Amino acid sequence: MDDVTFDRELRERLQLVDNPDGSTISVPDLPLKDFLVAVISLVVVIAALMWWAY
Amino acid sequence: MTHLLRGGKASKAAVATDDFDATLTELPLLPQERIWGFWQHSWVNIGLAVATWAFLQGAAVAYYVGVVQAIASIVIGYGISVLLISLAPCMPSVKYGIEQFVGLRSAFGENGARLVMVAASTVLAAAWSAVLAIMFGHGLVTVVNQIFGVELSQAGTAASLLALVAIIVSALILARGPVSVEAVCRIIAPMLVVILVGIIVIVFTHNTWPELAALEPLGGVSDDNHLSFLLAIELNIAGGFAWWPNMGNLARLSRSSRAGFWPNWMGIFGASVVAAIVGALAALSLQIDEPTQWMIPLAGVVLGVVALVIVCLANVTAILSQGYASMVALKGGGGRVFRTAAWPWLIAVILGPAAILVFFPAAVYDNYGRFLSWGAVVLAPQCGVQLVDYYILRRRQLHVRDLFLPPSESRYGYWKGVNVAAFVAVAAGAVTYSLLLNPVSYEPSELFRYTTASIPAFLVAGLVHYVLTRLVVQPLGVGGYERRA
Repeated sequence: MDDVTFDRELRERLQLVDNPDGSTISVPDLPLKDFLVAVISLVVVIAALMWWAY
Repeated sequence: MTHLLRGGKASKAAVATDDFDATLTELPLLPQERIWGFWQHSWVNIGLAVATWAFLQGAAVAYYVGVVQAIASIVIGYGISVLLISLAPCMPSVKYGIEQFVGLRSAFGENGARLVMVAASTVLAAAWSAVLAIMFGHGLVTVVNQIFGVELSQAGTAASLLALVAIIVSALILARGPVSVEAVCRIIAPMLVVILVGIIVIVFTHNTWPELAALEPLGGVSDDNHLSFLLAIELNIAGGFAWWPNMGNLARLSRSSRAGFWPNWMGIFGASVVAAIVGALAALSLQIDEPTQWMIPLAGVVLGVVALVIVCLANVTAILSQGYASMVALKGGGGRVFRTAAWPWLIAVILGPAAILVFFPAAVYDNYGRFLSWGAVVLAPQCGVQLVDYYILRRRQLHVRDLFLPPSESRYGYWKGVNVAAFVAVAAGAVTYSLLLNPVSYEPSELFRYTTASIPAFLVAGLVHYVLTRLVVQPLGVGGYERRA
């Protein structure tokens, strides 16, 4: 991609980012529930495996 | 040609045409350019994870421990590192649609992120591509030997030339972009799953569980079982961290945070764990550490050759997935020279060194465990710095415009585009790692028995970055960190 096209595209997209009407580019963060499910599941599995492997 | 569809108050770009594809640039992606939902991302992830390198990982683990501890260490090690990688760099890349090394500018500065990118996306990517290609060569040499009754050496020129073929084929497919990468992975991944299931069935048909559980490690029974177990866990944590340079750019193409987070658990956790466990079972049951020599003893000549060919093709899918992510990173972090470079030249930059490395297999393939360790020395601390910076210091808020401004104008400009504090933190993490586990000799310290090496390196780097930022960087008013009330 040439510089002119890139700069134009970047300018367009950054205008969308700065648009106060709404986040047209970003998506919502990962819900805390998903994070907790992953962490708690991992902790439980690690504890079980440590017990099993010893 | 770029199409800009204008409507309503804001311009809305629909930018994916024959000669313009934003996914191949560092531009922040628009919603319609995020081409992967949960399953598309999962298939790519699985295709990336299920390759012979997972078998090699299993064989490396089998050197230290038996079946039970191999299973436990693989799940524990990958679980820890995949969780951390899924949080950073994946989540910032998904949230803002930004290339992962563009996102890294907020922590390391523009020029600092470029340095990290060059190291991670060229050196490591080339080395990994070479490992995969060499395994492809080894596998096809075995196939040729079986079919034609010859005795080509896996260490000879024929294997290297076949590895070169894998590199060339990968380059040709990569030239077609991420859609072709996804398509190839979607074909190969299911076939590999069938092979994995087949190996499990064969191993358990020929062995009872008590027999498998009683198998000795390939390196022999150790006097210090606890240390062997910790070394196995460390191998797997390092194996998980090895995905750090790639995963953000794949997650970036996902349509939501969930679609960028959970497929990592389907792919680089789930698929890697299963494949590595299968590898450990095969290695231990056959007492052979070379994955390409497992298929024929396990499945017989005909099925074994077919399985081996599929496994060889899976190496190509892994080169493709990693190559795509690395090249997008190079475009994003390499400055104008790389951004304006034609796609084939970028392919040459990534795969060119790999094409040379395949003729020196001892440099990477024959030292797999240490090779993993060399990567983890810096990747674990980098992950720690980014995670602390994004989640704790910046509370998940990045200013996308500033990521693209020159250092003199950006809030992420730091000192001439380099955040010295972040690099000091990475160095502290790397020193911590090296003190706990010598990456050259692979000799562990006494403390390693209780800590592993990657986790303390991750924690030390994150802590040092936090302290230096709060005590030095933030009071100086650089880095764009919001002051606490």
